[in-house]
Amino acid sequence: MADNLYTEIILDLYKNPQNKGRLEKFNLETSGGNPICGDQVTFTALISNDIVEDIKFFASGCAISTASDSLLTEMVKGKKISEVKKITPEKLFEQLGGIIQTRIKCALLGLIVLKKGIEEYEKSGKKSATIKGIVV
Amino acid sequence: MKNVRNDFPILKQKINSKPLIYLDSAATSQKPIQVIEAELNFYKTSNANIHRGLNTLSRMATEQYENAHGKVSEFIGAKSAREIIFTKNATESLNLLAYTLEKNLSKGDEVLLTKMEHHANIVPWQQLSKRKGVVLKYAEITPDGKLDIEDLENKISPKTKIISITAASNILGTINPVEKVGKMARSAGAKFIVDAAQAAAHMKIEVKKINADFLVFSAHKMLGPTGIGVLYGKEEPLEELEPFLTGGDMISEVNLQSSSWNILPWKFEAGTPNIAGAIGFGAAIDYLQKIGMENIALHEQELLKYSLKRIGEIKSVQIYGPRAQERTGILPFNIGTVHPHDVSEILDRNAVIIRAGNHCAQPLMQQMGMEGVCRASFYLYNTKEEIDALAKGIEQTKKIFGA
Repeated sequence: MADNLYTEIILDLYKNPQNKGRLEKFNLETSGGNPICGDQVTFTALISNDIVEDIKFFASGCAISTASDSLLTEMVKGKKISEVKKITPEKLFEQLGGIIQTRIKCALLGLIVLKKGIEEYEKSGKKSATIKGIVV
Repeated sequence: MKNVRNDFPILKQKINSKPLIYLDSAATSQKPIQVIEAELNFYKTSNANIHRGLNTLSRMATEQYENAHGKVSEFIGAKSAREIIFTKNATESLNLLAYTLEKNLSKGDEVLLTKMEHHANIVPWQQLSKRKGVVLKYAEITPDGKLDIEDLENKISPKTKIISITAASNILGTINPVEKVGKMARSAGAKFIVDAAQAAAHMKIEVKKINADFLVFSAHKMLGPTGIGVLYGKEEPLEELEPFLTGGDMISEVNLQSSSWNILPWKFEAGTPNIAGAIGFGAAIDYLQKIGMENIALHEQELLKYSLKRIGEIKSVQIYGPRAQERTGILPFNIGTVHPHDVSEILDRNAVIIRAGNHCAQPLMQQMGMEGVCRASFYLYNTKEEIDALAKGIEQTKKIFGA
């Protein structure tokens, strides 16, 4: 039963998260959380010429949100910010191997926080942005 | 105690084709058939509004509703049913107090709480603080999760007007020395409020011994229905307070410009109350009395001790809180760094129901340095076999997440 929810991809990313931590040099910091379950995530990213050169995440949360944050960093690294903005929840869920209805919010936290951060980065005239306390 | 399970229809249910193992009674208890039938019978035989009209049906409903007040009064050893006000739940009772006690407070007065309070005994006082400029102070807790009584005493000042503490922590199960704190409150001239939401279901509450001005609890945690709770208050401080909610039933006379209030406890029960809920609550109290609160406490102690040993010996499981003798049947734990929501998800798939998260007590969680915690809580219908099933689920969780 449990395998339906905790797919191999999720468990693997949870146990071996990629790009975990905080960049030393970054021009975007975006963080938020889900107050109901307490999950939190912070991304630091270095963006130049509209490309996400580097990105790291730091999170405290369940296996699904941690796996999702980790996967996201891999999906966006080296990509144009216009492409990041196009990532749909469905695409993310598919990459995670499927998400059950009750845990959609866990999987979506990172994507919402990252997209909001990129929006604010663009508003800043693509210089730098720090966004804290996004509530999902 | 073995036969009580038969009285709880829900416990015969299967979830995911496995027998339901309910270890979340600290959130809400299950209901025995006697309570369910009491509500059903009321609607089938006596449903009418209370305190209205002199018809037979209304008299029947009124009598049963008032009887429920009497049962609660007797259950906690109050002087009379005049001291028993029915509210929606313990939260509403605390809000009622935070609003009505306001008139005696001035800017700079202090309200003393503890760091192990449920949000229900924090947020109403924060709102009061915004309205009146009163200062909130919090007594510390010790590393093993007990109330630091010396710190509490040190935080009492001539400005302390209200001391409001929980009788038992909803996360750690810690039982607090409420009588002792009550004595301190009295010598400081402060009103003393006890949040008994987590205690009333599990131990004998004697309000005369506790000597609190006010004490609150909810029916649903003690085998009763949801939507009904209690504000116990000594007559004198209750008489001093203005009504909280106003409208029908709580008045004695209404004129165009002003009204006068009904006698206690009706002065605080505006509008049509939860009549069926009150009657169900009365049946819950009958049930608890029949089993005996001492027996329930003993049974929970036995389960708690067993679980501390059984779950405690699983490698990488951490259990929080004080020793068994100093707590109610609550087992807070974490499995390595596995997130509590992931633990509860796996347990749920084994039909083991626990609570996971911050449990409406974020200040306590911060104090204990926990981001979240799993909580198994026991009641009179739980068994050692169910704790074995919890242990099995924990082992499975460890395997899945490599903890």
